[in-house]
Amino acid sequence: MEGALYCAYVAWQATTMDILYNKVSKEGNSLMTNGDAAVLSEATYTCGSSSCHDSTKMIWTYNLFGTIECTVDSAGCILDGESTRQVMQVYGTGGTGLTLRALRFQNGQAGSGGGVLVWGGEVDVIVCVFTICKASDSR
Amino acid sequence: MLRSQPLARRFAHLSFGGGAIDVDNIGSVNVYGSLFSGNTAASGNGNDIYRTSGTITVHDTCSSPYSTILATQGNALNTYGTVSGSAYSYSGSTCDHWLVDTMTGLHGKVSNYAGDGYSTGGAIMFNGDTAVLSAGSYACSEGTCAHTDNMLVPNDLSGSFECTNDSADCVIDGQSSRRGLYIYGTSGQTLTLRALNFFDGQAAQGGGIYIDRGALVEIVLVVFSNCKATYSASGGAAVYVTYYGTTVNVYGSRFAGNAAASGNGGDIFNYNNEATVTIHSTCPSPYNTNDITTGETLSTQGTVYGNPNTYYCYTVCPAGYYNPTLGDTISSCSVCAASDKSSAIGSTACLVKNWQVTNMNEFFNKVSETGGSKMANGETITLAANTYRCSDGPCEADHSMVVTADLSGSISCIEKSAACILGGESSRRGIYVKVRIDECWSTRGGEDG
Repeated sequence: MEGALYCAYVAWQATTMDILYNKVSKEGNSLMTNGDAAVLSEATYTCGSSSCHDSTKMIWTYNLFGTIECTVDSAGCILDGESTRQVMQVYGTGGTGLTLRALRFQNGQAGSGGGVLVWGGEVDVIVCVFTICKASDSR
Repeated sequence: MLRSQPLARRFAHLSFGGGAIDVDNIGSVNVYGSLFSGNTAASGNGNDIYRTSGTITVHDTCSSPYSTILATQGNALNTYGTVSGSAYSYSGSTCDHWLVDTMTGLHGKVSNYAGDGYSTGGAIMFNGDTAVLSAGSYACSEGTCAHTDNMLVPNDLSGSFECTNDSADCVIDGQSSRRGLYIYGTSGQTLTLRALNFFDGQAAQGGGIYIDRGALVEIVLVVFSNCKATYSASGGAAVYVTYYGTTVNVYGSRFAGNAAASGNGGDIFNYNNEATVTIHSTCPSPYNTNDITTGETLSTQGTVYGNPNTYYCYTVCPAGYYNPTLGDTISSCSVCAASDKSSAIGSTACLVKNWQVTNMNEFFNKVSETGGSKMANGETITLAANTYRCSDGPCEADHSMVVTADLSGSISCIEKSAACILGGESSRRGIYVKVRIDECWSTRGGEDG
């Protein structure tokens, strides 16, 4: 379901990896407008047969600002890198902040920043959980 | 320009790390109430956080609008590079939990009804939040309350009011003069009351709680004791519910010693059957839903669904003992210290103002005019099921077993079956309730007594 939940901005409901990818990742086909929120349902999100950025990253946000959050503060929205992908790479935030709230970054893996790599921009990480994430490059 | 650089160069690192987070390219990151666990970096540089350039700050507080709440500290972080702020991981699970430990603090956080003559709290929690009470007694004599008739009046407030533990040792003490809680709607969401102890609440109806205006309320592991409804045409000494749409679900809660002047609904009163009230015979999480002990049948008026009984979700300890951990074996029971005021059967704490006596000697000393350790006015004495006789212990010298002189409070039996027998042995009255005449006259202001 998609629709406005708040007056000041639009909150887009994401219930599957495909919807989440298309709402927030750079190549998504229905990106949310900057300043909006992507609200995840409590579930486990994996690439599997779903859309992801590539074989090394689940999500790549590109100068995106706004909010990506779980529908409740329980961190029950699990972004699982399956020990093969970085969960999220934030490439700038367009001069305004990106908030990550109540997300569980799990089994993320990359050379550096298995859970999240912040490459510039302003990011608030709020009541999130990072578990069993790995930076695999030994240099 | 950064965007014109080849991708490989843009992400060039001299070294790598940060199993969970890597901050680079002058990024700015603030971390609030977040947990890091089991993360690794093959380089050994920052299993949790790696800062290449830019800034990252780990805060020990929750974020706005909960910036005044300290997050729950966890394990130490493993970081590399400059990481500002705290060096610890935090749990965000309590970032909407407002801690209160005084009557004024509790009122300020939950009582927002603004009718004439009502005092409104100044820092009301947000809908969906939790007010967590420290163990102890909350009474209007100790701080601010909403009104002379009501201790607390939440208006369209949802979320949870709960004791810091499940032992119901957060006592909302009406001091025989006020209702504990008047719930005036919950804005369509649920308000949960957990492990609170409504004690000595008194009002025309609903001495413990009055639930109104379509409120959705869950009552979980709550104790109602010694509450009173004084209006002879109403009832509901512990809980009074009214208004269509009002829905109340009760789990694992106990009712003892409550009384309605009307005789109707000493425990629960559903006015005109307007509300839906259900007593569940299951335990709430984390207790075993099937491991429940049924206690006494409740006094109810109006439709109450389910089996209206007191329920225990843990081992029921005998009188004089309590179960502080809500354990499920008899070894969980601890004896109340001899110097303490002890507990009634099934208690989770040695409640203040509730003395337990088991023999004539203790009974005499606690209540009688010449007793050696009389209870204070307003307190409660609970007799164990037994026969009390002067031949077994001290009594007054006149024709009474005991004489209560200007004593107020409550003397009750541990069981409602009148199993506490005052045996006059065909020679004495049981109790002489005596009021000193000189004080009666003095309260009239006369000097001619």
